[in-house]
Amino acid sequence: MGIRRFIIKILQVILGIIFLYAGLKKVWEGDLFYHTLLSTPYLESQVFAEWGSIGIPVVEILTGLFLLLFTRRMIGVLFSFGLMLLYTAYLVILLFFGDGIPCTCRTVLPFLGWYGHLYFTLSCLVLTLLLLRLRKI
Amino acid sequence: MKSKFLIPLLAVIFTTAMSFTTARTAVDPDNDYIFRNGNWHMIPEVSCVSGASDCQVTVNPDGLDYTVYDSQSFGDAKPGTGESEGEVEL
Repeated sequence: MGIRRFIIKILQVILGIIFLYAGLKKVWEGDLFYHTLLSTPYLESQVFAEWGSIGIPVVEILTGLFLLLFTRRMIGVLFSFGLMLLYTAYLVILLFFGDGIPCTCRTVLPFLGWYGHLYFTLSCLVLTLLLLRLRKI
Repeated sequence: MKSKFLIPLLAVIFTTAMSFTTARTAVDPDNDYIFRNGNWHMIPEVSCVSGASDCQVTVNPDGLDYTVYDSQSFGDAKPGTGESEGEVEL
């Protein structure tokens, strides 16, 4: 296996684990994610919380499975890029243009602060871009 | 062929187990808790501003500040600024 293919495989596994972990954790925690969405700045909407609390974990789990198991991995890579872009954009708006910053107690990685989450999503975005570049998109 | 499928499958199993063990199922999304006089007391959900310290709330009639927890566990202290986020009545 060439170096390029090896790196592609590693990146897909890393990103797949991240998304699968995030999605499954939201599922195991029950309605905690629903309540988190209800109290999230700029997104406090009953409708968004109801649909988001089901849709976001499903998309994350499917993205993880596409990256790890399914043959059409490019779908997972594209979804990964889209989700990371959305999360990064939301964090930038929240941290640099928001009025107040809520606690990180309900986030996927509560031991990271909000800036830690921003660096984490930026890193994942860079990894996804690298993966897209390696797959020659 | 084996390694092509085995590593991703192991990753799925590992991630599923890890997400299950780290899930915070004890967290109460509607209420918070304080530990006062050797007992846990339920209080209304407190909106804590993120910070490097623990989230605090002033309890009446004590007038004292207590750390706010997301569940009845000392490991679930809510992060905050270290200053009181408001007052609650017990």
